Amino acid sequence: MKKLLKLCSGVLLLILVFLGLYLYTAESSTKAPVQPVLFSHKIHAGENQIPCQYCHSYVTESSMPGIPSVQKCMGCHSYIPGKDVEYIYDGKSINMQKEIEKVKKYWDNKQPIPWTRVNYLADFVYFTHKRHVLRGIECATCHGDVASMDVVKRAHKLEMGWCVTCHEANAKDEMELARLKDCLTCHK
Amino acid sequence: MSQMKKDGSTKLTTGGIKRRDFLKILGVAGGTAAVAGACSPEPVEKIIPYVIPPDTIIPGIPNWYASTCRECPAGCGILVKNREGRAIKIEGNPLSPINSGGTCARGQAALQGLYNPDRIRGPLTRNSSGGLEPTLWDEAERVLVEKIKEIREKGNANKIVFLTNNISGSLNRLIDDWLNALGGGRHIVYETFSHEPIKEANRIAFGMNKVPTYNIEKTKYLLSFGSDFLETWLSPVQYAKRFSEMHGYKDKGMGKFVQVEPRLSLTGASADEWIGIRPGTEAFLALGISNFILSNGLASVSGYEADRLKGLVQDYKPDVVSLITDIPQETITRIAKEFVELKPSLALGGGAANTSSKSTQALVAINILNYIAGNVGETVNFGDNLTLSNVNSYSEITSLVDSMSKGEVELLLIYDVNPAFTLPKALKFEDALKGVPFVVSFSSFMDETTEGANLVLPDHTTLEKWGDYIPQDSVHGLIQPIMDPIFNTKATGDVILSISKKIEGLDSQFASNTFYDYLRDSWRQIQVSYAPDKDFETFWKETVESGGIYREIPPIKAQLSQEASSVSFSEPKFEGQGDTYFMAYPSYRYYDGRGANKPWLQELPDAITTAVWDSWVEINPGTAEKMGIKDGDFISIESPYGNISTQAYIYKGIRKDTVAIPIGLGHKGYGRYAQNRGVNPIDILSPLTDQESGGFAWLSTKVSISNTGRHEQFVRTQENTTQAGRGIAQSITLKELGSGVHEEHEKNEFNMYPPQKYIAHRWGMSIDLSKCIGCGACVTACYAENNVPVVGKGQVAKRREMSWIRIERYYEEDNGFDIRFIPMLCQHCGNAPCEPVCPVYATYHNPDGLNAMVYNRCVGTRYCSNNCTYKVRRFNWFTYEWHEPLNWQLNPDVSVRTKGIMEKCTFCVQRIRFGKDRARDEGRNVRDGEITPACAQACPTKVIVFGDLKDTESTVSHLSKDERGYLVLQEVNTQPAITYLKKVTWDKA
Repeated sequence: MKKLLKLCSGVLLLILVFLGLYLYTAESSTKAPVQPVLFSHKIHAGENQIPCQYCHSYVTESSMPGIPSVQKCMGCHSYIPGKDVEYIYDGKSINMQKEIEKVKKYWDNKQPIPWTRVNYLADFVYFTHKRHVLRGIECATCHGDVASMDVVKRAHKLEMGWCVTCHEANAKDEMELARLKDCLTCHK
Repeated sequence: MSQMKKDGSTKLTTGGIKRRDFLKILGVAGGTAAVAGACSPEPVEKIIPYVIPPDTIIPGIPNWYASTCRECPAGCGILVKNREGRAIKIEGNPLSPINSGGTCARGQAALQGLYNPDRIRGPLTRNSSGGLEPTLWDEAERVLVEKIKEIREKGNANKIVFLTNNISGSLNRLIDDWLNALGGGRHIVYETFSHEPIKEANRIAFGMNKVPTYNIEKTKYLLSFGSDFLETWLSPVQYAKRFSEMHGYKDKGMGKFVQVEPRLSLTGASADEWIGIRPGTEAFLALGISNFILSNGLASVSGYEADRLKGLVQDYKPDVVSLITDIPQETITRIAKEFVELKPSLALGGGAANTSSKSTQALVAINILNYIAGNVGETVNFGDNLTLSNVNSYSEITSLVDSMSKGEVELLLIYDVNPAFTLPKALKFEDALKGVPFVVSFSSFMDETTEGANLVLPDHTTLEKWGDYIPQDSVHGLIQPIMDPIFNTKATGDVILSISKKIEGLDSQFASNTFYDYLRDSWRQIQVSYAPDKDFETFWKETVESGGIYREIPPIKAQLSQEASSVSFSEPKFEGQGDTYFMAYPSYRYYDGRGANKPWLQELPDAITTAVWDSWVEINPGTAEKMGIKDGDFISIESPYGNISTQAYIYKGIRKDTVAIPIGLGHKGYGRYAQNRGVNPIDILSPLTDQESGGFAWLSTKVSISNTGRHEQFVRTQENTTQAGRGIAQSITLKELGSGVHEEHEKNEFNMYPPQKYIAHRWGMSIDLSKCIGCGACVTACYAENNVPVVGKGQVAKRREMSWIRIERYYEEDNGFDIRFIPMLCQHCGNAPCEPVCPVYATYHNPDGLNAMVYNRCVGTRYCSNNCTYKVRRFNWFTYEWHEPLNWQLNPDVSVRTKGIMEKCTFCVQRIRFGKDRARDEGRNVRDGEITPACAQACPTKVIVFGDLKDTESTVSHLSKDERGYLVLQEVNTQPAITYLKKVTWDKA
């Protein structure tokens, strides 16, 4: 009986270890989520060289970057129907014109596009895009090389240790170090 | 491991695993689960962008809109913070001369009216089974139009009554014009506290039928006959501000304030002297004082006028008055001397709670007193009168009730008043309402009056609509919507305009499509009068931005009329067989009861009793002892008009022959927070009036009291009343200050820990106890700013309230009866006892001197709270709920805390962050006074000063070295960042 229980607990332990490992790797895997529209940053920011701020217009003004409105999408796509070509993404062939049609449909129905969030910060974190961008930190430092991604995936896990490493490395002096290492700088 | 036995009990079986092994397995499994749990994926969130972005909104950046508060007739200017389309915080508009940036607790809580979960969400109509059921606006308006047509066809348009509160402004004009166009309906303006005796006494004495303003700030000596001017009287925030200018210690001096009233009110608690006068005898005290002044040649009048007045007051020698008023003769003569010596002086009168059936006479006597001291035209300002002067009198309301019950009213339209709650039961308003064939209510809430309506056309709240309000001649306040309406409500102005289009003959007269157009049209006329050189669009834009137009109106001189000298004075009438005077006093938390549906106001502890969420009756300790009444016992109070029973609060600040209950609770409806909570003292009041003015005589009931024998815990936040010699709320007399006899700051250098290093700032605060009036505006502002949850009566009973700042109240009884208030919040100690005991480093000292709290590190040991010298840390025993849509108000810049987390005052770190951010944008350092925590911002008397102690030039640095400065419990050597300035008292005569 005792042996059996020990065995059972061993098995349970193994299952939990694997489950933990699975969740850990699953979580840290950089798989892009499925988005309602296959919006390619690679085409926009990469091939067409549209500056990040053209769409994320509040990065220098607000804590929030600003997610472009459907109106903003239509500002260009009223004139740019997209190429009627098959685009290979994630092993699948996608017609770009059809994707832009989807955006038009949202616009015609006056519906917002329900994007899935890629970069997640907990509610208790105070993070301001403005201060980071005005300091001259490149978007890519946190968001990775978005210009080479079709659907954006997470480049960094945006966890405290990662933030602090950068805060420590970039402080100009003692005074700034003390400020940048202070919990209240980011915890609200 | 365990098996169920036949009898249902379980026990561990012996043959299996040992306890030790079991724990091992459990430990490993739990640990692994924790590892897995810690790395579990974050929740999948959606980002919903705008379809078309609004021009004015940048996500993450607040917009502020100026408007006017309508929580009471005072009409303070407000600025409302809007984040991403939602109103989240109200602050006073610094441009408004009424409140100059301050607010009261009720003003702060207007947001909980806007987001109240019990708001009426759309039009309702009475169905065949007698219930109210939702309908459509078109249908509801059609029903009303049909009704009006029917009445007009019968030629009964004069039987239409529009009952509103004081809405002086465009809506008032629209309603008047509309009723005229319909063919002569009546517009009756009803205010619960309508101050008729003030108007009438001013007509008698000076020929001016007005409620004036009072320049309290200019006075050196303030004698108030029961005016609760720091709570509800006329314009409380305005007078609190003016009072603090007069009574706050500055330039080695301060004014003196004497309060005369049978029950020491919150206003009286700020007085230097309380005189517990026999109820209803204020006239005689005023006459006695005048008698002494005139007969000793101290008056500012002379010749014929003086002789005439001498004749009027000759019977009221101090010894006679002493017998009538129950005040020692020496006190009367001393006050008389002080009143003319400390000039300019001012006598106030006419608080609702003290309005007897001879109140006009009392106010005439007070007018005479002001006149002979030369105050009229100096501290009494008849240039700038309140529009409260224009409301209908209580006797006009009673005749309305009368005609309603006689069937003389065919259609009653009720706007923003709740007479079923605020009129005495003896008037039988609810029965009279049944006598009206068709009743329309525009209320946003299902109050007692709206429950009797046939049609409910809910208005927007003030924060959702356009409008204007003129509280006094000097201020035209504009109301603008802060956000889109939350529910399917419609502005009453728009309803009137839209139904007018469907009524023959009215369509051309009321051509404006919306009330907004109508409002702008009426402001065109204001522009012509006040800013003729500006074009209208510029004027309009400027006015919307500044919240209204403000003018200065100088006082005008007034002569005492002949009529004044022919007034005869008599003692007021009291109804009831009992031997105890009964006072129902307006509550500074609920006003006339309209605040009762707001959880912040329910949970704001009453300043005197510190009670929450319920009613109480105040009773003198002598009387209580005689009757065997203990604190918390349920007392039955019986008048000829009914019986109510509530818990006793034993209070030294009330006469032995008087009991008092605050107005505001005892609702039968009015939503989940108000319903069936406490008692309504108005229910048992006698319906007597003050004959001369037709005002309601609030103080004209005598009751008998008895102990019901039932006892319950009296739920309040502070049980004890004494400081036990600890010197928490300290005071100093003027003489001591003058002679320099006061304790020096004791420097306690010994420290076990290395000293704190402050790199750029050390945030600190100073709190001036000579200005604190205990109003609790700071407490409510803190709830609003910092997402502080409301826990309810049951949790407060277990000491689990969550307020980050509280007003502690202490009684000092060595030398008379003195009430002290002290705002208590986290002291952000330099040597904080909470910090070293935290096992997880969740609380620590930050380089700016803040005692910081990192919520997500907190594991809830509560060691910090146990070790806190000031008991200002609060623990979340549960995850508290904000009932939808109250949660819309939450401040996105502040974390919402969950179960098991400790929290406390942060000095509004989000505001500090904002201030620093703005300074950095502009490439400069933070300016002194630029950052203001919510408590300091709201304070109507500017008690709290916040700033950087490291900056030696800042105001707070100077104040921290003030001669009145002290640190609370300094001997513990916590080195607080908050310096309190001692309350200053007059030396006892």
